[in-house]
Amino acid sequence: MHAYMYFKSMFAFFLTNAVSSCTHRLTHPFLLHIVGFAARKEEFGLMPLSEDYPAAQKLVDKFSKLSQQHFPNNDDLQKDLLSLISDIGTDRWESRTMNALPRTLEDVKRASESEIAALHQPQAVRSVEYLREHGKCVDSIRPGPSTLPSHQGGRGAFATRGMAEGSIITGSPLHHVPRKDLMTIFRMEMNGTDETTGEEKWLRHLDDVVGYQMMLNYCYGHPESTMLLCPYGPGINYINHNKTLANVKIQWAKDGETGHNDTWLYRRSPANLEWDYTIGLAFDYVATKDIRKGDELFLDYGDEFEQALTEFMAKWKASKSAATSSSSSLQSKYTPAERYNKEFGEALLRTEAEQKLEPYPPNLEIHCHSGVATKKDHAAFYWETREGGFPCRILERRTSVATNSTTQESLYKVELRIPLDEMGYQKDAFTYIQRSDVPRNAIAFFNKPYTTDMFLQNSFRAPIGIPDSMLPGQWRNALRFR
Amino acid sequence: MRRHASANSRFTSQSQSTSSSKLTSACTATTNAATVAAAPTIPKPVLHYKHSDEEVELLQPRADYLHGHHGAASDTTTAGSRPFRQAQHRPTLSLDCTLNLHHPIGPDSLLSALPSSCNPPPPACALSSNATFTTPTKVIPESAMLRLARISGALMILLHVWSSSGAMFASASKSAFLNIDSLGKVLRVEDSNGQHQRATSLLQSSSSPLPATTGSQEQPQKQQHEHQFRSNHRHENYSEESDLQSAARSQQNLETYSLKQDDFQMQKQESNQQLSSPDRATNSSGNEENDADAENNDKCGIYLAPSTIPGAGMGMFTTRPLHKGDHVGNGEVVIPLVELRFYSNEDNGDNLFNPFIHHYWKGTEMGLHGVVSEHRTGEVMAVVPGLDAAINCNLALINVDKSESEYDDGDLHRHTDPLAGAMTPYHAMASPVIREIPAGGELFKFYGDRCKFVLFGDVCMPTCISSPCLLSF
Repeated sequence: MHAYMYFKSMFAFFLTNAVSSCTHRLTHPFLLHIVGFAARKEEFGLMPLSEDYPAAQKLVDKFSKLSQQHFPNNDDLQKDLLSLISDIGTDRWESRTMNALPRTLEDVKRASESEIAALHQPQAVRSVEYLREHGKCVDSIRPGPSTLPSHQGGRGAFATRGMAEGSIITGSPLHHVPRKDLMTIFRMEMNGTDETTGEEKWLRHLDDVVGYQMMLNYCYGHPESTMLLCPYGPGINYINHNKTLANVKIQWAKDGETGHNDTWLYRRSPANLEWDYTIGLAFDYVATKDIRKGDELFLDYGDEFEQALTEFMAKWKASKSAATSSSSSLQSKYTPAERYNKEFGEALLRTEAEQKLEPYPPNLEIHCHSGVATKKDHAAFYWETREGGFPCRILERRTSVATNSTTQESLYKVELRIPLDEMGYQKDAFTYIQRSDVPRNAIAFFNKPYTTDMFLQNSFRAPIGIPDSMLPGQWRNALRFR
Repeated sequence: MRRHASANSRFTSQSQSTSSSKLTSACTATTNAATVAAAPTIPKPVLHYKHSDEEVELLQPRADYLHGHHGAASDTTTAGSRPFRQAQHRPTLSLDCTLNLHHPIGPDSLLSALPSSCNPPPPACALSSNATFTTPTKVIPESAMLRLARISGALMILLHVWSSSGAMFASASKSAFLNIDSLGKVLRVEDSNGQHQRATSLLQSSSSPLPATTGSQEQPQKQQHEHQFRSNHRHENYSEESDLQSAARSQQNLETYSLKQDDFQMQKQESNQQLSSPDRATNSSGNEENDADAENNDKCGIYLAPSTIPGAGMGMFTTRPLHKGDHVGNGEVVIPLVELRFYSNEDNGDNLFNPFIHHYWKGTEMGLHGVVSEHRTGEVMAVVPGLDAAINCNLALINVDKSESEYDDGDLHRHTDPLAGAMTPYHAMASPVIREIPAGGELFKFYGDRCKFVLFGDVCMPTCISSPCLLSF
């Protein structure tokens, strides 16, 4: 009778958790009618999501606590109870949380002692010898300030260990872009709105290229091919170009290494590779000289790149000398928001009225922390990476002396502009709210759209050159333009 | 999940069978049927020591290895010519194997703890890499256990404890085993020729490479470790790294001395530093000053290799244990891709092949706020190569957190520098480790499990794999 009572109470506890989780999932609007997902569900069941494992861990802890408390030495009873609970999580009561629960009593005990992750860990480990045999070392490069003149390099790649000539420094799988026009930015013109949906219609001027994506500079290409290859191995993209100092070269990885598949080189054309989302190409980065630890790595980007860079420099200088004083003045006022915040993060902010007399750099706009809108505790304003805040205006400023302190603090009255629709479907629908006594740390500067350097129409853009000897014949599908 | 469970069941069953057969044949376990019948639920002896009011569980014998609790009830193996049934019998093993079971690191590391009678172990002395193990509350240095196993006094005490109770050991350990952390650096060690070795003290060697003489002296022992590893190369889980570390530590830690209680605290701290610094420094971003062990740092810490998730392609692995709070990776560029569909030369971008679709972060996650107008598309992809692109996601095992971004434009200004705008000013920093990762462990990041609008239109799909045996698209 005693055991029955506990069984009953624990059953109710788990049932509550399981059903609430289950109903939450099943009523999700997206999951009810999707063929693709249904097929996936039939095959795999309801897959636990990120919050399901902590929830399952709580269930495990609760199970262990209760079972240890009331029938500690009776494994049979515990197994029966677990079986009963597991049966709840099947068929129509199946839930993601229940699917995250360990299935055996032994596993439950282990999960209770540590965590559910410990049950999965052994399956996510490979031997170091296996890694050396089948893997590619990818921590041989670290970024740092380049040894090139500051106007050329910025950051560079440095060797983390010494490497002999001919050794493979690192490797990188490649994103393949069969059509390089993916990187093209055309001139766009607004052409009315759709009568039925109300959406704006844009006209794309295919004959008017205004620029290229910055990504182009981080990809490898060849003038005779539409193919671009963009590496995503660690540290690779910090290797700067220098023809004379070059101590690294690229080569195709061996078949089967780093996901490289030689048949892609010999049998597949750019058109054939389109819509193939798998990764089948990889570079090896090979030392062409003995490299010591701490040496900067340089790659010869190729003659095409060098020529493009030389022409760009000459053109930039010419345009600079021909620029009008007004445009030149405008450019000189440009200050990235990140730098401005760093330098003036604690400075007094000008009100709207003051800004008319002394405006901020034209590319900046003021944002207030999203916590201001929700009346969050003022002490908790922290601009983490994902925090973008809302555009706001500084209406008033006042100075306050904090209680029990002699320091003065400037507080602001602000007006926030908040989109009504977070998904952005109603693009011009905003609500405006005002807040008083907002501290300085809740306000920051952000760049206005399309003002940062990446949108400069005269920015240098050129892919890194794939050596002619490496380019497969069937990839030569473009005319070479000089 | 059911598939996973069944796979797991097969997995443990197989491993159990392997481990038991290897153990018994190599170490000549014997079965005491009378003991088995009389005491089927003999409590596991748990050894404790106390210090500063903190009771720490030191050694918990993993009788599971022998009992076959994990779904191997019907496995029958042979011990020499003596068959026994794992799940029902409690075999009484020889002392050698008992010591193995006390070893807390992992099944493969047990091998290095084998005493001389099993050392070098014959191939049959191996435990399966897949055998279950539990990381104890306090991880004891492997080398310490090695020393422990070779001290006759320790053997006697352990034998005594095994046959009586853990309470006695508590008092005995107060005097003899209290400084268990420091055993690795204080006890006498025999090389393979049976000669006692002396090496530089821990204090002298803690921040500098070993003298050449020490290395030559310790070579036999290192070879011994390597032999152990090679003869058991199929044990994948905790094999080479701990083995190498153990060898490295043994070079540094050999010192004969008499243990003093007063030195306990200082030695414990030193020992901890010694153990933790090489691993952490080499996996932290670009911190050369912390590279205390040059030899260790010359070995690769991160590998790109086939993922442990079937069908997931390549994944990132660490060759060194990583601890919560460590950082992994050296930092990376954050390359913005803006309004790709908007500019695409396709029908409103709906027919666009975007090869980066599985390897990007939402721009705002990497600090790219407001660079394009929400009024138009607001679409900014942040392509972050390296760890953030090649890493996989296993929801049950998320062990690395998302990296934060920083802004560094190299002080280039569009007014004076022609290359302004040619290089991204956004950089991802090293990623913090949020869960203990063993050597050889695959790194996993959480990159969202719902509402990622790919492949199935507006369908909320888990884009992260929740179980290693499930295949993601």
